Amino acid sequence: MAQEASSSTSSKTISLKTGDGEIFEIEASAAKQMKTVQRLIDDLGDDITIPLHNVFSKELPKIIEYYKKDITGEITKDFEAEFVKDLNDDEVKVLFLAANYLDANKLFEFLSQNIADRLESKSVEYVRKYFGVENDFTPEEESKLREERAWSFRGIKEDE
Amino acid sequence: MKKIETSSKISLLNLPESTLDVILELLSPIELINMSKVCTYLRGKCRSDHLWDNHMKHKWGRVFGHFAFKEWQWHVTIITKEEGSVLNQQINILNGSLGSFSGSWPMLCVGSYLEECHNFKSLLLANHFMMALYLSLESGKFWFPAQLYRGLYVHDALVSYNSITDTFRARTRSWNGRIVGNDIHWDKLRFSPVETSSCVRHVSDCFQELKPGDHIEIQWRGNTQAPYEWFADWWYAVIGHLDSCNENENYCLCQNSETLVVEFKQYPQRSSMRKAKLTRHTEDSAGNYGGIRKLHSQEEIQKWNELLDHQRYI
Repeated sequence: MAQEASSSTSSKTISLKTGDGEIFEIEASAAKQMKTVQRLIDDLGDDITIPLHNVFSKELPKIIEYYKKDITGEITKDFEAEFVKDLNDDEVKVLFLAANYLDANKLFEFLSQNIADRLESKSVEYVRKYFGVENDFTPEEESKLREERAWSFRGIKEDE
Repeated sequence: MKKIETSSKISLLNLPESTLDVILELLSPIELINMSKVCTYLRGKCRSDHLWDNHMKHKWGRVFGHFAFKEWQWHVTIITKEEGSVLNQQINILNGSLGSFSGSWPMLCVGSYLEECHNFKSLLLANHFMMALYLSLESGKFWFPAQLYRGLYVHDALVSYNSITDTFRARTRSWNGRIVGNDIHWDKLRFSPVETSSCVRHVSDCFQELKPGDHIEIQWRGNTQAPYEWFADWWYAVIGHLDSCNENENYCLCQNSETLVVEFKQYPQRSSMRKAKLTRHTEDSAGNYGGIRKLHSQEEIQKWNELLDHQRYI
């Protein structure tokens, strides 16, 4: 990313340092979209490398890629589809958590929708692993839940 | 709630509730039910009234209105009372719950009917009102009050949803509950705008102020109307001018007259069916006309005008 000699903020870049010690550059206008980063800039100044303890070198480039497109107004449905196409469910989860930490609203909302879409057709056991929880129902409670499902949505097949 | 280690260190459930809610709000009703099978914590989250209220508004808002909701509250009260209480005896042998009653025998009308109401007991006792309501509608077990469009009038009925065909069945509100329609599409229904009963003449509150140009709906029964349902049909009309009036806005005194002219635009100007003359302050239910409801909503008026245009070309 070329740095211009002029002092106008629109072309200024900010340095971000991930939790695992790598440094990435981002345009100041893109950094503005991530409220956590902007708050750190306000506190520490824009000449210092901003530390992001909870974001790592695996996901930050993808986030930067998204906001590069955002500041030029190029985010389309096609771009968003392409953006998540090759990501598996865990990778999306990690990005979602990072967007949440960075308070990057647009990306956060887009990824929430993507996670909700991915959950739509998954089995209960899969969702348990995804959320990292165990089944803590008693057998009676489980059979009650199955009954409820049976009479409430006719015509839609039980998937397990 | 027990958490297990996963490959990524942070679990989604470690997030503040409001963050998890963002995802839950995007889930479909079926998925919410599936999610409640994951663990006890998610069961609680996925049954919250807030989530199901969104789905209620989104899917049922156009056909399920305020008065239908009051009927639901009535059933909730009955179902959640203790066994053996007086109210509980409203649940008949078929395990259904009768809604509110109006009129007197034999002109007796039921406000709604909830089949197999025991299904909802545990959800209601746990205060999951909106979820129970949504499921009662989706499963077709709740026969709720709504109005059916039929040509240029609407008909009061109780309707039940069929999720397999995505259509409704309709019954009369009178005690015999005769079926009056099957495979009714969503666009032929609307929610009941007044607390009407097809057995009791609607008490109008707008007689005093009606003036030429006002849009109304008026109850009317034909002589061949089925017994016990004398006030089930509402016809669209416009308040017209008296014959003696020259229809000049500045000199029109029709509003002060005891006679109210109701004009049915689907008939040609010279037809005897076009205008009906009623007495403004009577509660006489011997005639064929019943109560009047003044229309305020542009949407309602527009819908009637579209139906009128359609009628004219047939």
